[in-house]
Amino acid sequence: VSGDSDHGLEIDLLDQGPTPVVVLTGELDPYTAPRFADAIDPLQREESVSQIVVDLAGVRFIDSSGLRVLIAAEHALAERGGRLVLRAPSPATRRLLEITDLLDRLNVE
Amino acid sequence: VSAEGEVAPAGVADVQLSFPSEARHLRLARLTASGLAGDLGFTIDEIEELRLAVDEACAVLVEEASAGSHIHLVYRIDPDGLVIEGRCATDDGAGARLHPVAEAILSTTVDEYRVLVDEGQKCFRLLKRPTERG
Repeated sequence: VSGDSDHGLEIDLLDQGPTPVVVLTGELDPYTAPRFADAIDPLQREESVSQIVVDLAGVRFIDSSGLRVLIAAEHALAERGGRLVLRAPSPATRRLLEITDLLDRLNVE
Repeated sequence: VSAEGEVAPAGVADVQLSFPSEARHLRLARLTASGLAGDLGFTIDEIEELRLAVDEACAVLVEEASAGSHIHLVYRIDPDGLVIEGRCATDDGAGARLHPVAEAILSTTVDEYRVLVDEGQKCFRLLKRPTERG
């Protein structure tokens, strides 16, 4: 487990290997989204990674800057046959995915 | 919300907030919006929508703000809802550009929104009306 906490967002990487899980806790906004992008970027580039799960259960706030990181990761993985899975979004996050037409485009558990 | 459907009587003082145009301070704008909306009797969903809208609008200001500038916000309680106006100095004279995702969020979460450039300042105005409740 590698932890990384700063104002507003904690990022934990679990289950390193072909199917890593990234657990987010806190707020994903224009201040914290670049750190999330930095954390997920090497995973989405790693050839041995076939799927990344992003656990959103602990996300209290997410805006378009956070969604853009998720969209970019999904595209990068899909290009080489991988997939991004969003796990356990809160009702508010699910609603955000719905109004931005991403609920059907992304893999949401 | 009064029996006449007004959010608050006229004459309620504005709330003003000013902070450096840095992304780390956006949570202040969200926090103020949710506090005021809660006081006005907005539902939890409406508060969440307003929090999201003010964050998106302020993010546009931060993105194109002049170095060392401040974002100035005014939260005004109008008879028909909560109005939030924001402005910040910008070096970018082009019209306001919204990412399609941000545009989708703003068009869904508030009743009215406008983002524009006026005399060297990037500005926005949001209006959120409470849902009529019986």
